[in-house]
Amino acid sequence: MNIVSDKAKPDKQGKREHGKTDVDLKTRIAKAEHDFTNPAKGKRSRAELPADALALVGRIATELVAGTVVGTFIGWLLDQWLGTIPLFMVILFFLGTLAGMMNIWRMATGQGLKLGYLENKQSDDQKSETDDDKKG
Amino acid sequence: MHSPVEQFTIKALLHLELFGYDISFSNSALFMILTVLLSTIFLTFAMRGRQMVPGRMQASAEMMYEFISDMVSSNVGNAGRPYFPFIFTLFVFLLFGNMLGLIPYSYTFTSQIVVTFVLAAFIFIGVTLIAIFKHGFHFLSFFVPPGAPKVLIPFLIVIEVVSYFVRPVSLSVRLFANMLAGHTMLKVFAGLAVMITGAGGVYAPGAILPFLALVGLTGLEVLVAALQAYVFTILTCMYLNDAIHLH
Repeated sequence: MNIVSDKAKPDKQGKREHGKTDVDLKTRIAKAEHDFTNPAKGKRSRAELPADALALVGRIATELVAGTVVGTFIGWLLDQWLGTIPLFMVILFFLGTLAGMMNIWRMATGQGLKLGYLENKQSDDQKSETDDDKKG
Repeated sequence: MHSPVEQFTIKALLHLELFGYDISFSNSALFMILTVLLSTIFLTFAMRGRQMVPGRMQASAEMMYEFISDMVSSNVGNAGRPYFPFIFTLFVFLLFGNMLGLIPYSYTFTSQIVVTFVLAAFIFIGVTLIAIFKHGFHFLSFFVPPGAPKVLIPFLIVIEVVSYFVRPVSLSVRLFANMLAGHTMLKVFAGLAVMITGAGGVYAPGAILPFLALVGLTGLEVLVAALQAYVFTILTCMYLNDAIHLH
């Protein structure tokens, strides 16, 4: 990572004066590598914008519309294939709407976009991920 | 007077035809190329100095890098590192595309559903393939909610499948609709200001109101442009996370 190589530069210069910075650099590299492979849990990540509410509002609307449209379209495709117009179209219209509503419910309850919903049974390392999911 | 939606017309700048297909070079394509060129130039130029203490350009490039790097590691984890270049490219492409579109006389290619849908469809197909390669047929357990009552399972599978196919649509529609609506709104307010001024006499000073609204809305559109690039990218990360770590 960049940070490691950037930090290495002043140390090289400093070595002429002190000599012990070599050890210091090694511990710092080790620390940086450790942090990189084990990102701190629960640390507030920078990958968040303050405008969550705005993003959420847009998502609820699109999720509902997209569910209905995609459901109906899949139904229409099935009907074209099986020649049963409008049977599947009607069925999938309702199922698609349901899917849209379920997506919204998942989003609002902080399940993120995980397909297959129900119980909030997550391992600890996924908990911080779902916290971020809410914001999307 | 131009119609507020006239800004979205695709004009062929160079007429080309291949095997009977119209592959003309359009204004939309021109702005996509400009976006790619500008972002490449910006990132290359900004990182050219590699200063210890970054200047303005380098700081902004590094911020973008770290922002996406954090996004990938907090949403996908370490398994997401190999996909970082793609996600970073996606974010920069959308961000620059959205921002370029705000410049007067330019063209917003993200306001075309074709563009956003193709992006979303590639992501959808790619993520599905990653899930299949990583998990084989276990991938299908995606569609069976754990702990659901047996009677409901066939019903739930259909809902889950539909809800899976909703992804590319909601992903693309969100970006496209935001850009389309925002830019239309800008043009409507701008048109209103011009029309009121055109009415002349006592009405003319009233034009200041839509003009002020326009200033505010332009600021809002800058926010929306960044926000929608962010939302598109973070959702890609989440889909990737789902594919890599099945529930």
